[in-house]
Amino acid sequence: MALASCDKYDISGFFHSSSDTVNKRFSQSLEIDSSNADTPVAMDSNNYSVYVISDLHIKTTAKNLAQLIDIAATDPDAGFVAVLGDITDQKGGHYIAYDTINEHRPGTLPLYATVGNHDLYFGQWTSYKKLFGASAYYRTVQTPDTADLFVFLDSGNGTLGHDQYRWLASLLENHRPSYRHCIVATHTNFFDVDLGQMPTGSFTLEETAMLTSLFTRHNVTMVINGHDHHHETARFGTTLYITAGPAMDKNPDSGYSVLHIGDNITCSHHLFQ
Amino acid sequence: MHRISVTTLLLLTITACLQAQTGTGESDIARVADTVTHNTRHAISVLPLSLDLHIGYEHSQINSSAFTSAILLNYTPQDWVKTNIGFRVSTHSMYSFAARGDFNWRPGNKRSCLTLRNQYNYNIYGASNFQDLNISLAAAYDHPYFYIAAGGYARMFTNIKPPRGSRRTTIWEPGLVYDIEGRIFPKQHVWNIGLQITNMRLFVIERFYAPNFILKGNYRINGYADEHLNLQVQTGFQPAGLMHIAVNYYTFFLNVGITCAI
Repeated sequence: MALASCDKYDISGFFHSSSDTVNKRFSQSLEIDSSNADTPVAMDSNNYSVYVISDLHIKTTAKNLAQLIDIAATDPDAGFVAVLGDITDQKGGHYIAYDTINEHRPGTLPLYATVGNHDLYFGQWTSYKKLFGASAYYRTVQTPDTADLFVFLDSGNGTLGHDQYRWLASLLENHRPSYRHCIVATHTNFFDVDLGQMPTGSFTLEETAMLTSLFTRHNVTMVINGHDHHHETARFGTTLYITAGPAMDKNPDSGYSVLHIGDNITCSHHLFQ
Repeated sequence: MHRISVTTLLLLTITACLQAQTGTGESDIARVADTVTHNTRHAISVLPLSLDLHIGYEHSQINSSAFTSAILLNYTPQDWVKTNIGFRVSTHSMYSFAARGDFNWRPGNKRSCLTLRNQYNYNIYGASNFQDLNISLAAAYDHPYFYIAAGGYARMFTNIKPPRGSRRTTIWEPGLVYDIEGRIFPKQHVWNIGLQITNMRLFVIERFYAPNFILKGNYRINGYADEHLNLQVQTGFQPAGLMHIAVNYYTFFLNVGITCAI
């Protein structure tokens, strides 16, 4: 049992993360993504959908990921698929996810990911970076009459770190007013109202205060995250906080969320079959 | 030589008196001596009023550097109840208020006590239009060499002013509190060094998965067990992501302070 746990949990992470620090990952993300940010996702309608999946914890199979991509691929309104971290716990899991995505995803459907804490275990930032690219970046969706801003944040260590926080503040200050909606997607949850997956962690109190304040000040429409393995909705200030449920294979509670984006945004949660 | 003789004479006199009063021997003398020591301890702990003054420096990933100053008024009307109330301000426009009551019970062996610890913390993050109120209740075991407390809290988050065009929103969050401290000498010692792991700092109760690791020391200027002037220093850090099992530096802090009887 202890040995099995050691395959899943990188115990050294209690003392020192085996992947790069959040500031280093952010610096690498800026470099990796330098040429991608200016290419918007073009939609034919002002109303579209975003498919969100999180906490897959892939071991040997990625059936739920495959199922989600198949569902999104048949939806003509699908803008993109977002994967909010904890893709895997184990070395090799990122490759299983990557192969599954390539096998199922039609070339026209974008997929954007960010890291969760489990993606950093056993030095897996290296494989994440190689297969999925940056963990902190933004994308825009251009519709006939408007445009929306999506910001992906790296919260795998339970903090954005100094550099990413400054970048986020500057991005919202300079770009947010040009967009209809601003949606922030990350792994770590901001509130823990039910001790859902005790004893998991979220941000420190100070960082919660500063980030939620930043989101309210810049009228961030929605924050969506995973991590807690429990679907939950909360409103704080002007921002709606959605926690997506888990998506592990062989888990009866596994599901995905769909953001229905128009002049307003609604979120629906669905269980995998 | 003369001093030794006087001391010996005094001891013999005390021994003779004790034997005369109780008919007991050396073990009772030791017990009486122990009681005297405990009475001295109690005399420390029941100093009715004292003042703590602190200044500090903090650095965090998100907030960079900040300087803090704090004042805390301690009131101990009886040995079984200790209270304090305090205020802290930081150069990052953070204002903290704290109130705490410790209700002690000394069963049998008076070297230790069981404590019910009730703490109220209110923090205003002025620059972030954010405030939090935390109410905690913990059971503690207080020993001369260590202190252990565990319990729960309820926290309320809300904006200071509701955002324009929006109504006030509030989030309640439950959690756990803990405070574990060990020291190299009994706490009445002239100087001491201790290690502490806790999410219950004086002015902020952090979420339970974001512990502070603290190295602390103190020096009693007037000697053993005297609380009239007690210099204190503590330094510590708080990692982010401990329960993510992917730690990253978050905060470092250094505080110096003094406790003086009023």
